[in-house]
Amino acid sequence: MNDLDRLIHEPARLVVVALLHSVQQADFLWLLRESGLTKGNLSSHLAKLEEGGYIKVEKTFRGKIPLTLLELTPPGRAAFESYRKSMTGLLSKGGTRR
Amino acid sequence: MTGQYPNLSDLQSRPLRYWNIDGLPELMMGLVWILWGGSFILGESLPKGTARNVFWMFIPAILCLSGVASNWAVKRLKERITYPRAGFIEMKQPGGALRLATAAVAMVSAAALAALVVRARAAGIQTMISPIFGVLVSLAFLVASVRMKAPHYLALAGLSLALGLAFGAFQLGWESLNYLFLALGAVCSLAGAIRLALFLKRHPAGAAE
Repeated sequence: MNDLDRLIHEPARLVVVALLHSVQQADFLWLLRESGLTKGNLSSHLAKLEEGGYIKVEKTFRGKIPLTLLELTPPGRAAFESYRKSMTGLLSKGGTRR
Repeated sequence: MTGQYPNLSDLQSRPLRYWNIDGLPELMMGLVWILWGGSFILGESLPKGTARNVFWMFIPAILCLSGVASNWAVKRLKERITYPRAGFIEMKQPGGALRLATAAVAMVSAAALAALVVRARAAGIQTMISPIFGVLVSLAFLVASVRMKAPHYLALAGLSLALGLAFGAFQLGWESLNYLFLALGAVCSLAGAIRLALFLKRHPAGAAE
């Protein structure tokens, strides 16, 4: 259990990373809708993930409207894949013990 | 968000479902089918001569270009309607292996269709063409319904099958396929238009960041 990446293991951040892993790029609005988090909560989780080097945040404009584009970095993708592998291993071990 | 462990498979299938949130793909697909059916009926109704020959020369280009154009139109409409209301996503680019597999399946399907058309006259398959096409479209909708968790595709699958069988019963030969395209196109466009209206109602303009 200690091997698990603590930055991703937190449920809200796991949702964000899993959603971003399934796309090339997404904006804040889509992530907000799909994650079910509040704006403030999502922003703080995104800041932590950006600090950890797992996501890339690009602030731009669509016409006159501000647009925040989010993308998982290669280390972020690798971390999520490794996390998923570890969890699958842990869950299957738990299954065989029963 | 609760402290529960998230369902990763469900999260990973969200982009595919999001692509269908607005009904635009069905709407455009329906319009393309109406164009195909309409073009075939118009081509059949033209008197034999130069005009008819020229018209049929353009049909393959119409078929190919309409597919490309509808894809382009869906993307542009999503940029104007869907993304400002519900958020933007860029889908992952498929890998080389997947692209090759898709190309292989497309080539095999085209070859099978060509073989079917060539052998049809001798074997009398034209009487069965509508039910066959209805079954194929129905299966495609069924697979899409399961993959995208879209129940309305199940209804479209049922309707495609029913329409295929119904037009087959008229014994019109190849002509039944033209009317089937028109009917399927009308059904898909209507379904897409209803879903688009519902989407616009649920996501009014100005719901941006």
